[in-house]
Amino acid sequence: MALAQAKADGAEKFAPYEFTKATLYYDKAREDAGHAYFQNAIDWGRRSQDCSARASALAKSAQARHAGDLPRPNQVCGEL
Amino acid sequence: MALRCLRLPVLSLALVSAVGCAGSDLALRLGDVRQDLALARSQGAYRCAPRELAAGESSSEFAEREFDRGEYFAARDYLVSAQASAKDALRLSSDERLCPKVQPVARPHRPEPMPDPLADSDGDGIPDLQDRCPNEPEDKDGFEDDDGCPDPDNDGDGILDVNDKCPNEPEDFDGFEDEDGCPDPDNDKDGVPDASDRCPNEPGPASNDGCPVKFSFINVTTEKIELKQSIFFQTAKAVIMSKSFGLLDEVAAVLLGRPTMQVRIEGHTDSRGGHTYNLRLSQSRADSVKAYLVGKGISSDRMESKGYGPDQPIDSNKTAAGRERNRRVEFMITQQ
Repeated sequence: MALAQAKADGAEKFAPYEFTKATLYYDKAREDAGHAYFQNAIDWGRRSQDCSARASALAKSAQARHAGDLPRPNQVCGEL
Repeated sequence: MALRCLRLPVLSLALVSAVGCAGSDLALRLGDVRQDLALARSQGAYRCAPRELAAGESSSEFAEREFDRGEYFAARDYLVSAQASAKDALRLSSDERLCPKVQPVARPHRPEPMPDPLADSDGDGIPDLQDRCPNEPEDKDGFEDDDGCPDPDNDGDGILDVNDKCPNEPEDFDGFEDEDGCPDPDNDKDGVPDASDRCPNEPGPASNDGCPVKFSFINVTTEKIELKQSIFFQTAKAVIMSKSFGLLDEVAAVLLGRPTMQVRIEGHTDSRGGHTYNLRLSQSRADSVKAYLVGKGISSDRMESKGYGPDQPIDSNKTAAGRERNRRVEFMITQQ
């Protein structure tokens, strides 16, 4: 699962914005699925996947170059 | 009862009206939250308050979605959450101590890329770094081949190497064979350098300042020492008669004056008598001439004697005059 992978990659620390969004989208997807709003649930799930993937990539990159040397520019995720 | 019936529709209408007003208010507040989030982002919230920013943006999206679906209460809850997150994001990003403005990071100075040490633009095998003419291939003719520049006229005498028989020695341009590109320090090759030769184009001994000595019996050409009269021998013998000594002394003088000259002394006979006999006689007479000249101080190494017998006549052997001409000794110059 993308979100679990992001967490394993250290995204919580190195990509907090993306990881937080991924988590919230994931929770919202589960909530909507519980209310049988399946189309919405799929949409939130995709956004969560997108944010998770970005979070993973950023976390790996940041760790590879010893994070924090250079600030990252503004980024977004989940805008599908 | 009629009054009660009248109150119910009025209450329903009021409720719908109230919800409608609340929806408009919700939409306005949602717009405000989005503005706050955009402001926070522009102040550096992505860097300083990433979780708050993410929560605010997500909650505002959820609020909008719930609002679109008609779930006003759910939308309001998400809106409240978005407002709180936006407020935190704004606070954290606007505080200079918590969120110092990032100065544009000075890019580390990157030195000019080192040129490829193996680059060789003209393909002459000399890397550009060491090539004084990186775009002109070296001609590799053995002359200054390490600098990478072609040398079309190595000796600089104005005659291009392709036409210059001596590309590394400048022509002396003294009017003697100046087209070949080779200097001629001793045009007539008489051993007297042109600079001190009064007759640079006519061979002559140093004792005569390089000018030819006027001989009575001989004439020196580039190919041979021509004899103006024959060398006389005793009949059927190889003994030189004394009347030919003067001629041979002149030949000796020529050889002494030109120390590099080498000659082949050729003995010839007419066709009378046996071939073997004539061959042997002509060899003996050539040997006699050589011995005479050795006696005059000429090194034997510079002379070769050879008898040809009757094999190389220069006239008819049928007449007395022709046979007399065929009986002869010749001095062929084999080296100037």
